Amino acid sequence: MKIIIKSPEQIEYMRQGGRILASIVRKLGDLSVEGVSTIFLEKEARKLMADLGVRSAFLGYEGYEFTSCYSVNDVVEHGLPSENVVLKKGDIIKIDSGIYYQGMITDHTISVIVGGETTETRRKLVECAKVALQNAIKDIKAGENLATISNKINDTADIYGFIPVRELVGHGVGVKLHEDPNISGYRGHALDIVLKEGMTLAIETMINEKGWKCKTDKDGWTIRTNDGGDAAMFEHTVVITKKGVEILTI
Amino acid sequence: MSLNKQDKFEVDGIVTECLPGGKFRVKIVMKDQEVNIIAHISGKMRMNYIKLVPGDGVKVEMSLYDLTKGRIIYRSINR
Repeated sequence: MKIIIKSPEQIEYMRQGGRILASIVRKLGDLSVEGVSTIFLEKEARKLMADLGVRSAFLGYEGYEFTSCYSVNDVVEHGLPSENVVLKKGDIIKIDSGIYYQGMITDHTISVIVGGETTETRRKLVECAKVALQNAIKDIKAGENLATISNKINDTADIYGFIPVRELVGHGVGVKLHEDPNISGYRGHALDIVLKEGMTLAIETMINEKGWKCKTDKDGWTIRTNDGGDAAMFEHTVVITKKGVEILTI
Repeated sequence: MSLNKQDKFEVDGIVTECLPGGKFRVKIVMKDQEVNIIAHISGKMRMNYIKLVPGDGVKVEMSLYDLTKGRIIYRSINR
């Protein structure tokens, strides 16, 4: 396993790229209203990236044909944009995107409740994924263990009564979209790795309403819960520092 | 974009001892240290009657979750 430590210059590029990416994802979240299709969001994402002069890190990655993933309700990740997926009030949409900036990649996901109001279970699920990410990075700094992140995500899910996904993980990011190490939200897959200054990680909290098992659709990309339960997710790209964690996608 | 969980990796090693039950003691280098692990021969190698003796160079598939065990998936051609 080789974890790439980034130079101050590379981290600065990721900082600037992260800010741009966060603004793109935020805008896509604002556009996620009742009646819009996920293909509309994809068209908007391409416009935003072109206007801001950045290139998608997802487009062309292992054959992926879009700039972002749009995962609605029981779709956990890698939801393909489609004119047949039209948002309804109360839906949970996970918008996951990544860009290149000066050769460095940042990766970011938010969950949005369409229309702002939904069932109590869905509201709690989204809150759980958000709080899990906050808890995961709260007390982390160089010298702490990567396993702490997995444990904190799983602990938060336990408190809310939900289940972290096991088959998908967060990851190192920066030079490549997916670098070592794997960062699971499930404590059983926590890795014993000491965090070092300059490590850049995409920490993801993928939380399912019912069970952890997922399945892949025939399109080869869309991953959804086996049991039809909903899923929520948040993701930030962060850099480990001596004093703590700096969130780059903000 | 999430990654599908990857928990396996491959290392090169040398067979140091044959043990009963299709298992072998294999010396590998991990984090600049030589360690001995217990590895079993893979089904494909067994099916193809590929024999292993001490001194053979092999490729071992290991899991991140148990660094004491492995699965021998290849024997080097040069003996």
